[in-house]
This record gives sequence, C-alpha cells and structure tokens, in this order.
Amino acid sequence: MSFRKINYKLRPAKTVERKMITESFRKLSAFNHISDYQYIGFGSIYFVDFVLFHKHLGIKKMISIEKDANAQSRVEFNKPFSCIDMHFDTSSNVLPKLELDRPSIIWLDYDGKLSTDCLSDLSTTCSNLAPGSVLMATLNVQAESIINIAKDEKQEEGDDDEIYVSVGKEEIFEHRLKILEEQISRYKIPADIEAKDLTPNGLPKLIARILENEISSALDTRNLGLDDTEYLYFKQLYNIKYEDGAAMLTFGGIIVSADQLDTFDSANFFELPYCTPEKDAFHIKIPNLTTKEVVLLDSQIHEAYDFKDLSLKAIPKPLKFINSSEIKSYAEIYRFYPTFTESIW
Amino acid sequence: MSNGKQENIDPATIEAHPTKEFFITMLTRDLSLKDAIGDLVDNCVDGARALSPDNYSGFEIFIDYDDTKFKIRDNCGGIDINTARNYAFRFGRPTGFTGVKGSVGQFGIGMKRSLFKIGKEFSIISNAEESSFKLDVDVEEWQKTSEWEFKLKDYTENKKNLQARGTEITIQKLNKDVKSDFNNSLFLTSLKADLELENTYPLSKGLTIKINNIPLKKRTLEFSYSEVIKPAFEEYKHGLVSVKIVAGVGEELLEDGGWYLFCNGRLVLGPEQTHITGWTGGRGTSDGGPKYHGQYMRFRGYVFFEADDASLLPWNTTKNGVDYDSAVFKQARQKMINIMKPVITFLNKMKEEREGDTSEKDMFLKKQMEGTQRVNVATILDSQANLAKYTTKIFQSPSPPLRPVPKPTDVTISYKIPKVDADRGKRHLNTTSNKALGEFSFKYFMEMEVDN
Repeated sequence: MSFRKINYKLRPAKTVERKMITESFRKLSAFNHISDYQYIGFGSIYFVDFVLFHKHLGIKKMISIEKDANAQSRVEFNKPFSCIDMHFDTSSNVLPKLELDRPSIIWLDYDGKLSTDCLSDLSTTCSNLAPGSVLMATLNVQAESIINIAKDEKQEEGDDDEIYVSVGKEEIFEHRLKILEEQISRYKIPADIEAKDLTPNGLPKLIARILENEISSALDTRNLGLDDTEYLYFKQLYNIKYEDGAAMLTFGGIIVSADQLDTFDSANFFELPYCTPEKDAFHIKIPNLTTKEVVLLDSQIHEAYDFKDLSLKAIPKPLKFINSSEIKSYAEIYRFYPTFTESIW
Repeated sequence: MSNGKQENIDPATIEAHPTKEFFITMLTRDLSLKDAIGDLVDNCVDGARALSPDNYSGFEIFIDYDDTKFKIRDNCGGIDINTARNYAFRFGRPTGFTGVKGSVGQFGIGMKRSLFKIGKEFSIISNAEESSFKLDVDVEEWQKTSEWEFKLKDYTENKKNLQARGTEITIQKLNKDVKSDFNNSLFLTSLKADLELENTYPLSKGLTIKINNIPLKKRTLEFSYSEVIKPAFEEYKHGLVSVKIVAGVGEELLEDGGWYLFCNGRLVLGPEQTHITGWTGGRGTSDGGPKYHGQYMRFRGYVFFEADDASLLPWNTTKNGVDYDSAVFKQARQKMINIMKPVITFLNKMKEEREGDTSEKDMFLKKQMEGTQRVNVATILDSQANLAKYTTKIFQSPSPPLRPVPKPTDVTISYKIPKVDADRGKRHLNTTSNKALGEFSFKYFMEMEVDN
C-alpha cells in the first residue's frame, strides 16, 4: 500500500521512466493501432500511468488492479476516466480472469521485492498474451545491506560489546541467498549463482535474469503446440534501473510471433537509448539542478554531449562549474527531466 | 565347456537375445491386476468402436472369475485371423499396421502382457466375420521352447463365419497374487469402481459390462451451473491431437475433486490431485496453483485428448497415467493451470466466507452455489449450442460485495530488560506491575519523541 506512504508524482526518476516508456510505446504502431491496445496496470489512487497512456496514446480500454479492498471508494473517487475498469483483488487473482487475446500492455508495477506471486503473474500472462503485447514488471531490487548482515550476526552470537562484528564474504553471500530463497523458491534461482550476483550491483541483473527465465519458460511450453510461423519470442525492451530511494528495476519486453520478427526489427526500438536488449540495465540518474542550470545545460547540450556515441565531449567553458558526471546523466535524460513546482489551488 | 559350435562364434559378438522369462517378468512388472483387466476390456471396446463408433448398445462384455480361472467374453466382433497373425499376438506393433481409428489399444503389448500377468495357461476362441481361430498356450511350456511363436489350434478363414461374432479368453493356473486378489471380496468392489470410471464414455454410449454378473453403472461427470457460475471451456489442436478442456465447480466430494484426463474416451488419470495436473503448491517448482485439499473439493476439470492414431496421445503404456514429458501434455497442463486459477480463487473466497464472521443468511457465495443446477459434461459437449449456453472462455463466478477488512487496532509489544532497571523504574512510578511500567514508558516515549 505505498500510496499512503509516498506521492507517486514526486518521484523524479519514476517520472522520467514513465515518460520514456510512453514514448517507446509509439513504436507499437508497427504492430497494431496503439489505440487498439488495452492497458492493464496498478493505478493506485494517482493513476499517473493511466492518464499518460490515455492522453498521449489514446488507449481507452483500461484495467486497474487494486489489492486494497478498503480503498475502494477512494480509488473510485480518484479514477480519472470512466473507461477504467477496476478490479479489487490481488493481481494473482485478477490476471487469470482477464481476456488477453487482444493486444495488451501490462505493467506490473509492484512496490515490493520479487516474490513467488510476481513470478506466477508473469507465467500466467505469458501463457495467454496475444503476440504484439508488452509485458513489464517493476520491482524493488535493493540488495540486503552488509550493515544489516553484520548486526544480525551480532545478535546470533549474543555479543553485547561490539555493535558490528566482521563478517566474511561467504557469510554475506549465504545470508543474502537465504533472503532470496525466502522470497522465491530455490528452483527459480539460477544454479550458477555467485556472491557477486547478490551485491547491489549484481542483484538487478540477477533479478532480470530470473524474470526472463520465467517468461521464456512459459513461452516455451506454449510454443510446444504452435506452428513455426506462430512461434512466440520474448524480445527484451526495458531493463531500466533507478533510485528514488530504494533501487528499482523495470524489466520487460514485447512478445512477438515468428511472422512478426521483421516487423519488430523495422519498429527499431533500439534507436531509443533507454530501450536495450542487453543484460546491463539503462540507469536513470537524476542530477539535482536548479532551473537556471537546466536552462544553461540545454543551451550547451550539443557542445557537451555526442548523441551518436552517447558520450561526453569536451566540457564547454560555461559548464565548468557543474560536475561532468552530472552533465552526462542530464544529457541522457534531458528530454524527460521533470520540473516540480508548488502550486496553490 | 567347449563344443564345435562355439568356435564359430565371432569373439567380438555378445549374445543379447532376451530370455522369455526375462521378457515376461519385465512386461508384467509395473502392471497391476486391475490395469491388466482394464487392458483386456479396452480391446473389447475397440472391437465395438470398429463396428459402431457412436453407439455401443447391444455390445456386451462379461468378466467372470473365481479362484481357479478368469474369463472375459464379448460380442464385439472377434479378432480377425490376419490381425491375430500379424498383430494381436506379436510383441510390439509392426510398422505400417493401421489399427482401429480412435482406438484405446495401441502399444502392441496390452493383451499379451495382461494374459501373462493373470495366469500360466490361456485359451482364446475368436469368431470374426470371415475367420475363426482357437489358440491354447501353456506359458511354462512355451517358455522352454526357443521359438517366438504361438501355434493356432484350429482355424478357418476366407469364408463366412456362421458362429456368433465375439472373443472369449479363459485364463487358468492363476498366478499366486492374482488368486489372492480374486479371493478378496473387496477386490470386486474396487475393480468395478475403476472400470466404471475408466469406461465412463463407452458405458454412456450404451455398452454393457458385467463382472461376475454384476452390471457396471455409468458414472456421470457433472458441473454446477447457473447463469452466473459457468464452467470454462477451451478447445484446440496440438498437431493431430484434438484437446478439449472443461473446468468449473461440482458437488462437495473430497475424493472426487481434481482433474480427469481422458485419451480417446478412456480415463487414464483421475481424479488427479497432485503436481502432475498443477496442484503444485505455492512454492517449490511452483508453476501451478495450491496443493489440493478440502477447500477445493468442488473443483472439477475434464480434459479429453482425441486422435485417430492413439500412439500420439499422452498416456503411458499401462494407461493409468500420463506421459508427463510429452509436448501434448505439457501444453495442455499450462492451459489447465490457467483455466483452473479463477476456479481456485472462487473456492478460496467461499472458504473465507465460511470462516469469516458472515452470518449464514448473508453468505453471498454460498447462496450463489445453492442457486446452481447440475449439468452433465456429455450434455455440455454435445453441441455448439450447448457449449455456448453452458460454458465461457474463462470461469465465471459472481463477486461478493466488497466489505472492508477490519484492521487490528491494538498490537502487543514485548521485550526484555534487566530486572534491576525494571525494579528501579517501578519504584519510580510507585507500581509493582511490569505492564504498567511498559505502558507508561511507551506513552512517555510517544509524547516526548513522536509528533502527534
């Protein structure tokens, strides 16, 4: 129930991600009229994604899943369009009931960490989704902090004098692995897992891999009964990492049939720098800049950044007082850089 | 030991012919007596199917046994002498043999294996349309000979047979375990129940089967149905196999809940309540739903695999299970899991309602269930019009009115502190109660440190 804790609209990286994803959906017109897609998501009480996709893409068939039955009247009050069909139940109860044989965009924007239910949602949807459909999941991928591990070790030993005791690499690995095994079963964890896969840098990649395995496995089973031309592939489009607090990962892609592979290539998703088929995630970093700095950066952006190579050029003199890594981060997302202002209604 | 013959053997060659004894042991090893009898019945049913695919009335199968012999007799057409020569008594099915379309006997081992399982002496009398034969085999004598042959005793062929058509198999010198089962009166009960379930379809098409003169009853496979509670139906082709899946809710019977899998009308598995049909439990290899237990006893799912060539169907050779690794079954299983999930959700909600504080008269889902009527699966599958009337693509069930879940208002906090400190605290508060100290100190903390 994170809407009571956080206002979704004020998460800058999330805002940027939503705008990027909206832009990338325009490429779906290679497959179908975008307005023919149905959108299935978790609208909460803010419905930010619903408003974006409705207004920018013209999607009118929309389904929002809300697990908190207590919020029913509040959610209904905040629903921005009457075309949004509300389902008050958990996603694992609602998704199997939905008809997915029309082109669909499903964004499972979980607040929490990976769980058995998330994986089951992915396999349910993948075994039903029509070709040309998009499936995405957003999860908290924050690795267990080693400070917490050290504290836990201390409690087990009952040592009152030291707050932190030293823990070895192996103990950190075992501890983190145990946490993951509690979230999902060990049958879902790749057999070749190593300590580095569970570190803050490794975990997003590992979780992306677990999600992809689940998707592929559901499609493989589905393919057993299909002809060569109908054969279904998962093409990864989104592997996006950001931090508005905890580390978050959005992983997803499009399901295409064998006879749509050419269409997929011609849609050219990967000309968008934030769409990637790679294992390394695209990282949204939001530099903290004043409005004056933003205006300055925009005026110098072509001098500072090579949009072909996606790399920094020599820093122009007027920008010298801004950190070069911040200039790079800004250049990567400047089209989507959010502006928050207070307004009094 | 040396003889002239041995010198001619290529020293690089290893003799690998199976002994007959080994062959018989391996063949019968995993076969239960009930499955062996079931297999013999399948052969009779195939005979009836060849003569009249859609209506079996008038066809009869009589099974009679006591502790000295077993006999199965039918009027289902008899075994043609060429079939006997080329197929029925050969081990394995010759390439190119075309059996009965949509048959249930396919592996080319069924009948022989069943005969070996039951006893050591068998006799077969068959009267087909234009041929007849009699075959007597003493298995112990046959084992001693080196030839892999059976000799027909009498036979006629290529002329109109005036005898009533049919097959009669008598088995004597019963194996020890078989004799003990035949002596057990409960065996008849469970054989009857198994054959009734396995042959649900042939029985519903008019076939008569009697065991020791007791007729088998046809079982009906039913769903609960109303305008708001409808079973889900899905139909598709996997290569040359056509598959139909129907799932929904039925009567509250613990032992009947689960999936039922049919191959060409023959039940091969069911009621199935394990991971095989998706009752995996939430964890582990968890690709399915919850494990089967009481609250799901209303679940009913029926899967019908049909193919002209029965070897394409996902069953095992003893016909009491599925070929778990076959592509046909794997694909069906994924669809079964998808189709069952909304039913499971509905049954979970019924359980919540039963166990919640809802008064009997306010039980919305229970009332909805009471408003259903029963409908037979055969009726549902009978016509497109009935499919449209009784089924939907995804299981339909009404949603109860949403009721806010009351949140707990109070929680208990407990922790340990040194006794000396607690005693000092209590003296300061002028109390002897740990509880009072705890409550006071928490209240103090909230007032001083936490905003209101």
